[in-house]
Amino acid sequence: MQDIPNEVLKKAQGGDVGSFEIIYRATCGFVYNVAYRIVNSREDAEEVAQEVFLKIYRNLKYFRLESSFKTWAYRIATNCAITHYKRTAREKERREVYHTSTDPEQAASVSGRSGESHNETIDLFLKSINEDQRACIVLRNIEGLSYKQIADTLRISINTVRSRLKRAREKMLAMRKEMVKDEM
Amino acid sequence: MKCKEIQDLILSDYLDGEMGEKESAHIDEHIAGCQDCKKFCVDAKAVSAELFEAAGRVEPGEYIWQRIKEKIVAEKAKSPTFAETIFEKLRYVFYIPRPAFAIATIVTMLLIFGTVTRLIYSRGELPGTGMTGQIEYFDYIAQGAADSSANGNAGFGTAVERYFL
Repeated sequence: MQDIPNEVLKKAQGGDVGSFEIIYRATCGFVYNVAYRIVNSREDAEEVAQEVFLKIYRNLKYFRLESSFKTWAYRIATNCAITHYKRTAREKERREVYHTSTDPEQAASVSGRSGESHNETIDLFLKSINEDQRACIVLRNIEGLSYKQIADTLRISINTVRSRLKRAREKMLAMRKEMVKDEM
Repeated sequence: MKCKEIQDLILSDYLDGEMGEKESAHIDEHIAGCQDCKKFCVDAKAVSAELFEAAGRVEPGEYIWQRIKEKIVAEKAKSPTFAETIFEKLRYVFYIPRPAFAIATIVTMLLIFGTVTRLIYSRGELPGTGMTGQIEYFDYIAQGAADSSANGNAGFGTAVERYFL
């Protein structure tokens, strides 16, 4: 994502809807993708994306132009997605228990099905880790942020980023082993 | 370095390219000579970089922007302009009936009005016509009295007085 020019941000800070649309067009892709990978549902991701952009619009007047808009927007998107996920987790679990299970055995069977989409496999791996680890994985592996950028976005230390990524990959690695074992 | 330490690094800094060249070369060297770590590295790559490389990006529908825009426009229509905000604040201060506050405001304004008026008047009179005029008037009275007593009249010695007296 490209950083938004200050002129556009200034106009949007003054309430100009046209300038805000420019901001939306430049950032909606990553906001939606980050939200989708964290909440793991298109419907919820749409809700999160709306929430994120309304939050950005309402708080834009407090945004300091010398800061990175990109980091600020990533932070709002990630926090909104995590909060939304936590809020709806129980309800979703109750609903999804009839459709998909996150346990390795069922994950293996899903993965083994012919024609299963790659995205669904990613979803299964992401479901096996907690939302904080998921945020780090999404920002690193899907959005390509550096450890420093992830630390700034999530307001955590680089060591915490490192540790969350390591634990998340350990879990995903264990899940993969189970899947391979079941396929054999 | 032990295999466990190498594997911990593989799962973070090494896979993510966050490692210096020297440290990275050290791990490469270890992997080249250790079958377990080599296999671990291949598996780790499969669940990180390789898994997400082919991840498709999902695109939000245009209707999302339309919904956001509707909400923004509605919010904007509700929110007053800067001038309206100031006017509303002033209206709130002066027009809302709050007896104690209203009386205090009136008293303060009367005090301010009185002080300002007094200042303006005193400034106008002191150096110029006010005091000078009074002094001239008293001189005139004193002079007239002196003249009349010298002439043996009880009046002030003016033509008018002489006419009436």
